[in-house]
Amino acid sequence: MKMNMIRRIFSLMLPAALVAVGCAEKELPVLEQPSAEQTKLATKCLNSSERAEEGTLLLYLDDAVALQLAAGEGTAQWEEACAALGVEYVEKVFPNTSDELSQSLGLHRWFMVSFPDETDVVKAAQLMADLADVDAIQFNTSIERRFGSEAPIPWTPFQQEGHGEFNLPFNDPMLVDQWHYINNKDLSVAQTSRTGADINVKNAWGLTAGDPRIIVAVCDEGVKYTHPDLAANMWVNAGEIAGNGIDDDGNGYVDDIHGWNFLSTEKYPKEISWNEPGDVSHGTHVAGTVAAVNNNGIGVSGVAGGSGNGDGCRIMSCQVFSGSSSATVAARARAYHYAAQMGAAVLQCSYGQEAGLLTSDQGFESSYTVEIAALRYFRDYGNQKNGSPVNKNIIVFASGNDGANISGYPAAHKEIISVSAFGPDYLPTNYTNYGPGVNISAPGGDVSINLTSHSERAQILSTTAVESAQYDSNYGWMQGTSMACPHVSGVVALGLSYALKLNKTFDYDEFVAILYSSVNDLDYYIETCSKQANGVTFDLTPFWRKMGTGAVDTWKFLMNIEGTPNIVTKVGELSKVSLVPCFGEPAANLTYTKLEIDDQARETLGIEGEPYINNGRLFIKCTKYGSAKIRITAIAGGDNVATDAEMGGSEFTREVSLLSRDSIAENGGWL
Amino acid sequence: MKKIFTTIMICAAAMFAFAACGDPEADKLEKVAGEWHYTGVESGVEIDIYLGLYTDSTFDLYQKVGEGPHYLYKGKYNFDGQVLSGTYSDYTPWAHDYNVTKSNGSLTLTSVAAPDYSITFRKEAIPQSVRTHYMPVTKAEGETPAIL
Repeated sequence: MKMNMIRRIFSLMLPAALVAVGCAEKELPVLEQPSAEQTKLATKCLNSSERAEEGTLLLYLDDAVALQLAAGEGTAQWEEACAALGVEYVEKVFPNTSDELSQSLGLHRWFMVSFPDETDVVKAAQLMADLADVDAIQFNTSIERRFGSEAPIPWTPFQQEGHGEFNLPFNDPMLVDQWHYINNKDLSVAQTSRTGADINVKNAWGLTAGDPRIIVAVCDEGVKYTHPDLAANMWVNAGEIAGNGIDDDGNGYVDDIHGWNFLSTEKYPKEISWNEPGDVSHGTHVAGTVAAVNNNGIGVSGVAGGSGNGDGCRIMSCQVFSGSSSATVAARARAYHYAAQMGAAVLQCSYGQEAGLLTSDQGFESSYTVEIAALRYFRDYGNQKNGSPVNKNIIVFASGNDGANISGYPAAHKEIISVSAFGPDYLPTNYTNYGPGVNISAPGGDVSINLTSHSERAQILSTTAVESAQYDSNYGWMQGTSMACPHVSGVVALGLSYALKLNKTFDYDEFVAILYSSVNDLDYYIETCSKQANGVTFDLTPFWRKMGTGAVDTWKFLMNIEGTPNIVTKVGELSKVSLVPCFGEPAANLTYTKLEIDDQARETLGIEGEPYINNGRLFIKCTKYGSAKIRITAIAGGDNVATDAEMGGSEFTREVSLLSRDSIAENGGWL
Repeated sequence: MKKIFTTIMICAAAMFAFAACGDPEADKLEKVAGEWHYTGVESGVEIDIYLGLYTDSTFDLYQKVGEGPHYLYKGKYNFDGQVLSGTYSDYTPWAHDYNVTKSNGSLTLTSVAAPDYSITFRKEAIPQSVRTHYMPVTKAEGETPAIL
């Protein structure tokens, strides 16, 4: 398997370059005092070399030189530098950058140079920084595997009284154990289990269980695409003929049937894998939560896994972790670009930097320029290929498992949905990140609340890549914001599926606002509560109003997709109208930043004074009977809107229909 | 024999009296209990409301204003034989107490405080499609109340 996008620009000069390697080490300056090279590097280098991959550098080149290199030509100065460095390969970070969006984001100007691993990567960067045609240098740093090295706990048969009432919509035998979908206060999961501490998907499946036109790109370890509970929902590249060694669809990747292993390079080609030493089924587990095949009589259910009639959303495996190999910037960026061009509508990413390493969007953007550009490419590529009912694509990241009071990056970025985790007790877990940057919450499992012999049952049950004859070891338990994240991705996929079914289209901001509004109130439980975690009292007060807008609710999401919310006000007096119908249960705990009522609406409704919002209520005096649209903006996650320099929540705006009439209760009830 | 007959008659009368007493509060609720439907148009907006008044003094109000699904408000009501009042499960009181008029399968609620305001429902079962397809706004007693 090869990536034919890779241009062996220097293949002819390779022998000479290899010979030069030994010399290159000698020729590179010894850096003890700040030198001119260091100074130049400082002006061009975007990030720290900490955790930089050996043997590669990412270069952002002058436009004209980028064009030359793409055509297989290099300037004399460039070739000289490459020879000195012993460059083995030069490849475009992104293949297929001829489209306008790639060009506008400068993706065509990113190149990766590969050189012998023994060469000091900082010295290599200094050498390349000398080139006038190199506008910026990014070390190809990796995100460490932060989901641990432990394999999932295998599912085993469990017979115990205590299951709540179940009337399951699908015949998947393990669905009864998936409290994260249907939580009926199952005491065999946890003694503190709460009814409704789930994603409220059961009835939603009656409206839609998915749509094969909606593709979710799982950026993670490789997904075990042969898994019996995943295979039917794997995305298949219709333009590619498996195993013929030809890039049939001309997308730059040969034999990419279910996705691609983005750790594969010309130097180290790799196929999608899930059982390398060190793999822990992370990608396969995440994929199962998104869209394990429903109603097929085996294993588990997936959030958007269909109804058993081939109607599940599709999973695209974009592998960026493998065994002990971490996701490099280049791998991640390529994966996002590929996912967009191949039609994914949702990007599911359960990884990120440790919380606190980056503390502003600006910091992330300047350090990970190529990554943010690729993420924006994915989002803005929109529905050119996938027929999504939303004009832009959706990016979902896990907030991180540091137990920190800020989200990790990239999740924390204001253009990305950051997901925190709660347990079967409807309370924040002891590992989840919370606070600025976090937008919404979902079940992530919490083994710490359970001190019984089957404590794993408080984790998330999904598909695994483990192959063993013991019981049915294709399934297992894991926990983390990594597990919460795919719940939200699955819910988003269901929402897109439902919009397709209703033949409705949405603007991106509107769709995300609907998601943030379709939640249940976690703060109600958090406010006066602590919980036991590993037998120790765990104070929950820091989490109050810090888990995004609340716990994602699939049913409410689909209901909200059906139509614009309405609120009703009483004509002739100052009304204080509840915003719960528009912003969900947590309306009173949200921070509102904007109330937009245009002149026409003011005239139609005869609005007197200046309306305002307080404690989740709209205070407004209408003097005329009428109906008009208004817009209300709130913050998803905390009190402050993220700026480039400071972390915070994401603003989201809901358009609301306002009707003024004779009579209405304060909560909007007609009687 | 006459004595036995008298005893039986007394017992029967007592049983009848006991049965007839029943629960006077429930009897009152029976007068308004049922499922009711209102449709209308206000300011160009279509209104569609189903009201379920149940004999356990709970109510379900499915309310659709314009597009989208019905919104479900739950709560408890009281009827003293003349005036109907209620409180949503989030403890918000109804906008009015209502005088009740029933005739020909309709239920007219007229505000006690503002007699010019009234709403007339007709008797109609709440469709299953509405019962299973709604946006919850307030919850039933025992569930976590929404913080409003």
